[in-house]
Formats: sequence, structure tokens, C-alpha cells
Amino acid sequence: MLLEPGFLIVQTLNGLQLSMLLFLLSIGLSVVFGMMNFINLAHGTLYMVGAYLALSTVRWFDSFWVALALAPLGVALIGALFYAVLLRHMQRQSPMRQVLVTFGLIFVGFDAVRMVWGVLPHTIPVPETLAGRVYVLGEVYPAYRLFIIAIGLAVLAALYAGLERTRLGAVVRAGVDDRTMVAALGIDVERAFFLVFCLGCWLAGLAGVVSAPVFSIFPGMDMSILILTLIVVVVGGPGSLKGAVIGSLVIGMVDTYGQVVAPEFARVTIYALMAAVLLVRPHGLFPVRRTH
Amino acid sequence: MPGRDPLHLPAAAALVVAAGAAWYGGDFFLHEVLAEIAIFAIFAMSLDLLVGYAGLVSLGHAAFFAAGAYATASFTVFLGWPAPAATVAAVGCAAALAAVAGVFAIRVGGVFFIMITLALGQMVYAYFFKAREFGADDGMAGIPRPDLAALGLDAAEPHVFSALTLIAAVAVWVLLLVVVRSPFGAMLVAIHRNESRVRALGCPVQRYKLAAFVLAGAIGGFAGSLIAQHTGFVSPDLGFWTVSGEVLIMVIVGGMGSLVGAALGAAVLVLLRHELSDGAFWEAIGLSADLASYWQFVMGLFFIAVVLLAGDGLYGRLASIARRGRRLRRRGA
Amino acid sequence: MSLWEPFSIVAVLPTGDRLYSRLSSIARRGRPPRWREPPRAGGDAMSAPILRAEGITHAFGSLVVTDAVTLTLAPGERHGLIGPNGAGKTTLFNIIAGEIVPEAGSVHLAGVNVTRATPDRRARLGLARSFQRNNLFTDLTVRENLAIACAIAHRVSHVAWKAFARHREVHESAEAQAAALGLGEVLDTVTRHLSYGTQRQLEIALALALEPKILLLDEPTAGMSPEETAAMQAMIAALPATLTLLVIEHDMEVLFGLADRITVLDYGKVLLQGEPREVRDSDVVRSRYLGTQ
Repeated sequence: MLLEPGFLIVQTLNGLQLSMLLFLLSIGLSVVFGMMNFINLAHGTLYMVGAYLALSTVRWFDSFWVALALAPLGVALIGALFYAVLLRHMQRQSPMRQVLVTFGLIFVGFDAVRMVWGVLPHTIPVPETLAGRVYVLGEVYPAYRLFIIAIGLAVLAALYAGLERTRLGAVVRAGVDDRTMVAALGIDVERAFFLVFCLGCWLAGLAGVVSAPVFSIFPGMDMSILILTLIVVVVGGPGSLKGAVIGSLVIGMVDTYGQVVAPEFARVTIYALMAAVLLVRPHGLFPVRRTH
Repeated sequence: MPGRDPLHLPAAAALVVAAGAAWYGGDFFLHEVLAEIAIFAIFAMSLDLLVGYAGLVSLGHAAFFAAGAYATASFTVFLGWPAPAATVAAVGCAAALAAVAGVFAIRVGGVFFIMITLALGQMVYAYFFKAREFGADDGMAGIPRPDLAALGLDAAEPHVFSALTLIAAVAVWVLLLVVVRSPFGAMLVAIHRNESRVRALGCPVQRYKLAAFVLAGAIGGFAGSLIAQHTGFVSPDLGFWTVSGEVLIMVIVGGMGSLVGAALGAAVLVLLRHELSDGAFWEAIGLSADLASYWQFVMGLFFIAVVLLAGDGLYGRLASIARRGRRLRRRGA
Repeated sequence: MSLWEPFSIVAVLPTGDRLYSRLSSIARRGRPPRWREPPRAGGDAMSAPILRAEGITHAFGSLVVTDAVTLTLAPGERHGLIGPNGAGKTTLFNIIAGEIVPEAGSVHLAGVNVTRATPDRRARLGLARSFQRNNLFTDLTVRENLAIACAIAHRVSHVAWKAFARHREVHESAEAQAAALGLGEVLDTVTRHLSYGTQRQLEIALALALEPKILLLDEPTAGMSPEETAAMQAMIAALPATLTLLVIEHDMEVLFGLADRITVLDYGKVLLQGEPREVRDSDVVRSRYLGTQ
């Protein structure tokens, strides 16, 4: 079964789809970590909120595309609010306190979602234009899942161009390298960080929206994806686009193939992989910071 | 540096007296809560050794809690060992697990350490969640408590078992106090303050961190063994990472780097969790009992407030008040 | 699925070098440290170099900061290291101290190859260092700073059962160390309240508490007032004659006053090695370095 080409194609596409979702989630987390040495545990909550906002938007406007446009913006807005109210005042606190504030937010977010949308799982329908199936190398595959892969690739291309070509991108790259140096040059790192943080939230929301028609939406959907995302950051090495891409691909593929080849071990395989990477490279595959 | 805190012994004595009084006057329900507080106090003190003294902020400490609980369940249910023997073996298992996990975790510091311990902890959770031998996501039931018939006592009685856990908590406190006041404990604090200097002085820093990690893991496993006997069953949820987060909050509520503080934080959080999830509490303060089902919302806000406002924690607040009092008295004299 | 299967994945992983060395060093714990072994038969302990850094080459990216540098110190030698900014002094220093593993070359300490050894292992082999910027336990007192160093030197730092306060011998030797280096009066002052010069002295006192065979000093008089510099010079001059010194120093006069031999680094290469007089008279050095003064 394992070596049948059809099986391989379908599973690889599934893996690619998961990889792209993980990429959307991990890139924001990773770059913020690289710039500010800060990890937002509520990132998964933003993903969940993105999915729920999509659910409500679809109910009101009856259009997935409106949800795709609006829900991530809503999540970015929540992220901006979070930054303004809490995070901005916590820059001088120890990393542990920053992390634990976002830990508290997970509980708040979880119950807030239960209050607003209830505890039952929901789904939203796949948009009609993408409801069909297409042939990929002779295998039937849902068009919508290809759409997820396309979105991931588009975001990757846009981010790559943005990081390499724009001024903000240059500030971000320099900020990851040596934040104090950039600040000493009179550049407003704070503002760059705020923009990157909001972009990361927007991407988390986007991931929530595009995954909503495939997975069910329920309170607690944030937890498992958060852990996977953190593993991507740890394995890839925080702070680099390359790390997030490679990390997502590796984890997405291993998880997908793990689920079908050895379902009993599914998640344990991922952890074993992570352990193996950490054994050889304690700071991930592509660490940006110099590690003595 | 540990050892020059005049408040520590009086505070510990006060806490023990309070626990003793609550135990003496308590009913069935209070005894259950007391046992839970004692167990989480042990768990929080073990984490405080890492966080407050060695400066290693672990978000995966629940893994050892779960390992201790599952080991106790396995040795008693599968092999029929008596509970005390199973506890000893469980502590060993948790220590061994901590030794393996520690080798991976201690190589990095700061936020990366937080993330790696979180991921390693989730690995343990994922294992127990899937492992059919251990009942997968259902967990295991039927874990016995120690047989105290020889003493004419029945550990199944809440007042007996809560007394046992309170004694265990005091014993762990004494053990950890000895450790943090020893040269080893001083070295952990020194590593926390200035790792590169300690290394340049010839101290094999990594070994010390690993030793602290293993000791904390072993005591966390001990707490896990007690919780398994307390509730009589184990489930993968014991090892979920939010448990690690909560125990870390306990340490912060009480004040990092003071063992009594960690115990105090455990008491506060366990009581708060019981009250918030109890409809009667919400009715008593004039609100709808339905709010009890959203207790996590309030708990989350409480966590955020604690982290933002606690500073040195409850114990740190007490210590600074005590210092101010002494200064005033000296000035008056 | 067996009980241990998921974990056996970890167990059969190819062991990384660093993990292996860590595990083996844990396994070695308790055996006597190697530097206490008697010198090998036939070797003349006194003439053998205490420190030998050979062909040290290291680059940060494409920038080669040390290029095939060789440095040999005899026991009791006082060696100065000078060179303009960016000459590679600090990198060489960090390679010798163990903070950086060089890309090529080797470091031998008392005959032991320590090229890849950690800083703490080198310290146990008898190498102590001061830091260019004060690197102290700033919120502890002078007494506590020294007690930490002495606990390590007395090999009781691992003791976890007997209270630190009851290790009399450690605290006595910390006090003696402080008295010997003129820190007796500030024993119970919290370090960050000390003057800069006194902190600098404590920096060296911590290193000396290890009773090292070789002491690396990284710009001991940097940022000091003339009086503080004079006090530091006196302190260094009073160090036991058997102690080997390697000193980075910007102040030429300080260095010419205390060094037996001097190595001049320039763009990562050794420009000249010799006695202070040779260095002072060298045209090359004069044009490249002293010429600017």
C-alpha cells in the first residue's frame, strides 16, 4: 500500500496542506520570537477565533470570500488590541511573565468562545467554486485542499518578497539579527514589531478561516495546533523564514505520513523527530542568532 | 542567597499550623481539599527549585507529575505492589524520565527552554493519550492507598489520607530546604544569576542544572504518585501542559525562590479553583450559578493579573512588610 | 506496541558528540581530576609549556579574526597580548578560555588537549580568567561572591545535604582571600555598590580564589582612573611568581611594566613575539601600532 503512487500523491498533498497551515501559523510566531524573544502561547487561540469569526461571517453574508477577507482582519484587530493593552507594557518583564500572560489569555479566549458560540462543534461549507474535485497526476483530489496549498505558497512568496524588498522587511531582518543595534540607528523597532505582530495575528486568523471548511470548529481546537506550531518553531529554529518553511514541511509531512503508517505513534513520531533535531542542533535547524 | 531569610521558618510554621487547624476542624470535603492542596504544594515546591532557584522556567513539569501517577497506577494495578513501594518506584521512574528529558532541555536557555520543556511535556501527554496498555485517553482506575491497618488507621478515610499528604508536604519542604541551603543550592542560585561566571570558575554548570532538573522531576513524580492515590485514577490530562502552566502560576502567586511561597500559592490556587467552579460561590456573591461553568475565564484573568501585579508574590510581599517592620522597630529602639 | 517502544526511538538515535561527551563526563564524575595526576615519567614538568595554543584559526563568516596564531607560555611566564582593535585579541582569549571552539588549531593546557573542552573543564585544569567587563554576582556581597568561588575550589560545591553556612573552611578561605587582596573592609558590601575599581579587583580575586596555575586577564585596567590603575598594577605585581599570566592590555606602559614577553597581533596574525624591549624598538610595531600614539 505504501509504495502505490496514488497513495503517495494523495498523502503528499495532504501533508503539503497541513504544512501550509502550519507555515501560516508558525511564521508570525517565529519572527516575533526572533525579534523580541517573546512567544505568544495565545497564537492558537487567535487561530480558533479566526475560524469562529469566519463561521459568523458566513452566517451573516453567506459568502466564504467575505469571511476570507474580514475574519483575518478581525483577528489582527484583536491582536493589535492585545498588544496595546498588555504586551506593550510588558517589554521589560522576564520572558516567563510574558509567556504566562499569554497562557492566561488561552483560558480567557477558550471560555469567551464558549460563551459566544457555544460548546458544540460547527463546520462551514466549502465555497461552491472550490467544491469540486480535480485530477492531480491521475488522482482525484478535492479542489479546496489545493486552494489551501495555493494560499500557503502565495503567502510564502509575498513574505519572501516583503522581507527582501521592503524597508520594513529590512528592519525586521536586521531586528532579528541584533535588535539593540537597529534601535541605536534610530529606527523605530517598536513600530516594526507591532506591525509584524499584527501581521502574525492576521496570518493566524487566515489559517483559521481556510481550515474551517476542512476541520470542525470547536472550543479547544487551538490546543493541538498550538503545540504543533511550537514544534515547528523549535525544529525550524526561530526567527527565519527558511526555518519556518522547512520546519512546517518536515512536521506537516511526518505528521501526515505518521498518521497513516503508524497511527498509534502519530504524535510521538513528531516528538521523536523534534528530539532528534534538538540533539544535533539545540537551537533548531536554521537558527538566526549566533549560538556560542 | 538562600539561608538569610528570617521570615522563612515563621512563615512555614504559620502555614503548618493553619493546615493543622483546618485539618483538625475540617469536614469530609475540607479534608479532600487539604489533601489536594498538600499534593499541589509538593508539586509547586519541586517546580520552585527549578524556577525560583536554578532559573530554569519549565513549562513541562506536569510530565513528571503524570509519569509518577502512571507509574504508581501500573505498579499497583498491574503488579499488585503495595502503594508505598509503588510510590518509591514511581519517584524513580519520574527521575529517570527527567534525566532523559533534561539532557535535551538544559542545553538551551530562556524562552527556548520554556518551549522545549513544553514540547517534551506534551510528548509524554501524547504517549499516555495513545498508549492502550495504560487505558489511552480513558486512563486507569483502581489505584489503592497505603495499607495502614497495622497502625489501626484506614487511609481510605479522607482525614487519614489528608494527614498523610500534609506530612509528606512538610517532609518535602524540609528536604528542599536542606538542598537550597547547601552549597549545591547556592551554586544553583549563582548559575541563575550569572552562568558564564560560574562556568569560568570551574563549575560544570550543565551537570548542576541536570541534577536540579532530575531532583525536581523526582519530587514532581512523588506528587503525581500521591494524586493517583488521592483520586484513585489517572488520566493523560494530568500531564497536559496547562497543568504545568497552572503550577508555574502557583509558584508566581506565592513568590519565586521561596519554598513556603510556592506552598502558599498552591493553597490559593486550589481553593480558588474549587470556589470558582462551584455555583454556590457565585450565588453567595449575588451572581448567577451558571457562571461556574465559565470559571476558566475568571481563572485566566486571575492568571494575567497575578503575572502583571504579583511582583515577588504573596510571600515576597510578606517578607518586605516584615523587613519594614524590623526597620521601624530598630529606629524606635 | 510495547511499553517502552516510543522511548526506544530516543535510545537508539545516533548519539551526538556533545551528548556523548556529556554522558561520559557524568560517568567520570567522582574520579580524581586529571591535573592532579603526577607528570608523566621522563617529562620535565618545569620546562614543558603550561599553555600551548597552536595554529589557532577562526573566522566569523568571511572575516578571519585569528589566522594561524601560535602562542606558548612557560610556567611562571607573564605574557602580554597587544594589538589594535579588531586584531583578534579577544577572540584568541575566548578560544583559550573555552568560550569559542576554533575552526583550526589546538589548545593544550598543562599537556592536556583542551581544544574542545568546556570553560569549566579548563578552569578545573587550572585556568582562571577575568572578564573585560565586570562579570560578578552583582546582587551578592563580596563575601558571598568569594564563597561561591571558594566552594568550587574546595570541591564542596556539589554537596547538597550540609548547609553552606556550616562549611567553615570555605568561608574562612573566602575571608582570607579578601584580606590578601585588600577587600577585607568591603566583605559585606553588596557588589554593585562597590566602586568600579574595587569591582575590578573582585573580578580578579574571584579568579584567584581557584588557586589557578594560569590566569588570563582581559584588560584589567580598562576604564580605571590613574589611582585605580596603579592599585591594580600593584596587585598584579604582587601575584605569586609561580602563577603564569596572559594579559590583554591597551595601556602600553602597564603592559611593558609587567610582561616578560609580548605578542603583537595585527589583523589576526602574529606580527611579533618577543621581550618588551624588542617590541618597543620594533619598527614594524612602531609603524602599525605605536605610531598612532
